Amino acid sequence: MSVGVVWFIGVSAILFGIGLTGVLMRRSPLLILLSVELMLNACNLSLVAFSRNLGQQDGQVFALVVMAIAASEVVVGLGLVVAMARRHAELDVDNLINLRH
Amino acid sequence: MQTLSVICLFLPLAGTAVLALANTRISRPAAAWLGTAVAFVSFLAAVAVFFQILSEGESQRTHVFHLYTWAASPSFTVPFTLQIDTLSVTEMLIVSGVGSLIVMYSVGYLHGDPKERRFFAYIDLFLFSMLLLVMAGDFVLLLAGWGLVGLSSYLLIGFWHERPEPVEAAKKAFVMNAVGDVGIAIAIFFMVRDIGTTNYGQVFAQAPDVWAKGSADANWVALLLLLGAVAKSAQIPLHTWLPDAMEGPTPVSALIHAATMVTAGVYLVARAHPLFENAPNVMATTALLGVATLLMAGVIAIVQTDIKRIIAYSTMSQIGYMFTAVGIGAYSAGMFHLLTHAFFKALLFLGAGIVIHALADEQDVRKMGGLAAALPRTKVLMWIGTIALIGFWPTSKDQIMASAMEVGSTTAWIVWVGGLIGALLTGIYATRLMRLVFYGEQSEFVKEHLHEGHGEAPWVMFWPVAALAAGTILTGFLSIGFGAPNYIADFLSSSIPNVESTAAQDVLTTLIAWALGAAGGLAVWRLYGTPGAVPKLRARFAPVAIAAEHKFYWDELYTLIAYRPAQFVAVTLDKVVERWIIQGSITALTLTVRDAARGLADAQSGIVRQYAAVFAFGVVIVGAYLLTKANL
Repeated sequence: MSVGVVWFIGVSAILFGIGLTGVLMRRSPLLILLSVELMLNACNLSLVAFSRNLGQQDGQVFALVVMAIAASEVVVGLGLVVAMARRHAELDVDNLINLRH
Repeated sequence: MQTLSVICLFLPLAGTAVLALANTRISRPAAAWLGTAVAFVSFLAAVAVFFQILSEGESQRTHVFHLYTWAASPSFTVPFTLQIDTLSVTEMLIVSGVGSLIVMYSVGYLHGDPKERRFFAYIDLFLFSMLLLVMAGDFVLLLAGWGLVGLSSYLLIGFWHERPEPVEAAKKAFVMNAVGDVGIAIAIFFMVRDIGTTNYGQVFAQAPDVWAKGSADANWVALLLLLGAVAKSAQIPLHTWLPDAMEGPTPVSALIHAATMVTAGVYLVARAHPLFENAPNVMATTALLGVATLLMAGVIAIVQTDIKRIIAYSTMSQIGYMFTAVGIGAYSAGMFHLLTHAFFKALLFLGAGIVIHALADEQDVRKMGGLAAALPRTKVLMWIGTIALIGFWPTSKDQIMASAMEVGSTTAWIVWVGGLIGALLTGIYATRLMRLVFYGEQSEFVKEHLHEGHGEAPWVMFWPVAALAAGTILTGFLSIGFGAPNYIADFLSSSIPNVESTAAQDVLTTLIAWALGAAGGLAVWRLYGTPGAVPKLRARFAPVAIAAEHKFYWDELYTLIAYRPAQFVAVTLDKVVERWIIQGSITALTLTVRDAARGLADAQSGIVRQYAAVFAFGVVIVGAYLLTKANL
């Protein structure tokens, strides 16, 4: 039996919610990056699910693009984290308010 | 004649320009003598014009010179036109003749003043303005001259601007004259509207057709011109600036505030007599204002203590006589009094100037006395002026009242009675001045301040005064009255009409006036000879004396009805409109913008998770909105 698209969307929504909660609640930049990855993959899941459901390939192609962007984002994000660690800064995004002034 | 007129008019202006531009490049004496020289050359040109006019036939004595078009529009042009006729040439001779004598006197009077050059530039500017006023052949040009004499009067009253009083006096004179200027300007609007031109010939020819005699418009035009005349000539109710104008240097008082500018109102009424005769009620008003002014100023002059203010009130009173003359239609008599008054009043002022000069700038007559021994020649000259002022010789004042007898209307009889009472007042104040200044004991002040060996004034100050005294005596022969030939009225007859009084009327009026003047003079002489008599008399007439010492409360009245309301309006506008509405709205706007900016700045906390939360919230809102739109 095939599983309805609603299930995929449900799992995707749950994953997205967990990711969003992580972004909002966590203060460590590493964990925030992980949460963002979770949200992106939730989107990927729904893209693939819709693609399969509609019998079109666009969603899958778009999911590949999202993965590429996610990889780039992780590179930049981890670079920032390493830079922070090198300056012996506390790994807490709430302290990064210097640009405010 | 055109060239000579133009030289007479513009030479003083050229003098002003040279003095103003050369500034300190020429020495002070050179500046003073240059200022005097242009005035004298201007006078010579006026004399030449006079003789040319005299050589012409009676009917060809009016010349109109069109120099160029000053302003032009399709429907209305203002030409720069000079009208040279017997009336304007008489005024030209007075202005440039008396003017050049007074400018020469100023060479001595202003000697050593740090602003000497500026004084001569100003006074030449005045001569130009006054000549423009009397030579103009067009009402707009007349108004230009009218405004320019107001400006030069303002500059010269406030000449010693280091002290606050002259500055105040200058402002007062300027503002009160501006009231009159507005009057003339509105009268000109009437002419433009109804006649379409402002030159004398056409206005006077067409006025009786456009404005019916005694109609509202005719009355308005004459009344508005009268307003200008009254302001310039310091008549009730716009007279309060003249006594204050005595803060200016004495030659200025003599030239502008006695001989020439203040009599411009009389000239205006005489010049515009067709307009005034078109409005009989305004003519009567002119005469009655003259009577009121001559009586009031005469009473005030009796109690004044400042030598120049006494003469200033006397001027006001004498101009009152001229106004009564032109108000009853005796224009030549008025102009004759203007002529003699220019001489004897300038003489009195310049004589007073010599006294003030000798006493180290003291002007209070109570501190003077016994100066006859120190200033014998000045005393003689001042007596000539005083005798002329009281009206013994020339008899110009008496001829005005004789003309009033001839006219015989109710107004004229009021003029006659008022004028005779005025003769008594004149006798009193003129003699009082001489008695207090030259006779009696020398006061402590005089002994202390009279420079030993200073003696009389320098020749440059003395000779102009002597020339004025000679002029006073000689002009008397132009019209003696008593049936003798009236040269001045004959000469002026091509410009202005006159009222011919009979010899009997002349004799009667003159004898009464002489008797009253002499009685007043002798009474004062005896009064001041008796110790304690003056305070006793003052106590008896205390209410009148106090009112007169306060100049009949005109200044207080104007403070109450004009200054206070204006101040109230200004203060209220400042408080409500300026501070509350204008400043308040701008302050409120800046405060709002600032607070909004601060609030927005607080939103930028720099906390990444906050931004993310706001972002997520926004996405939720947009998502919810799209869901409601979606067609599920």
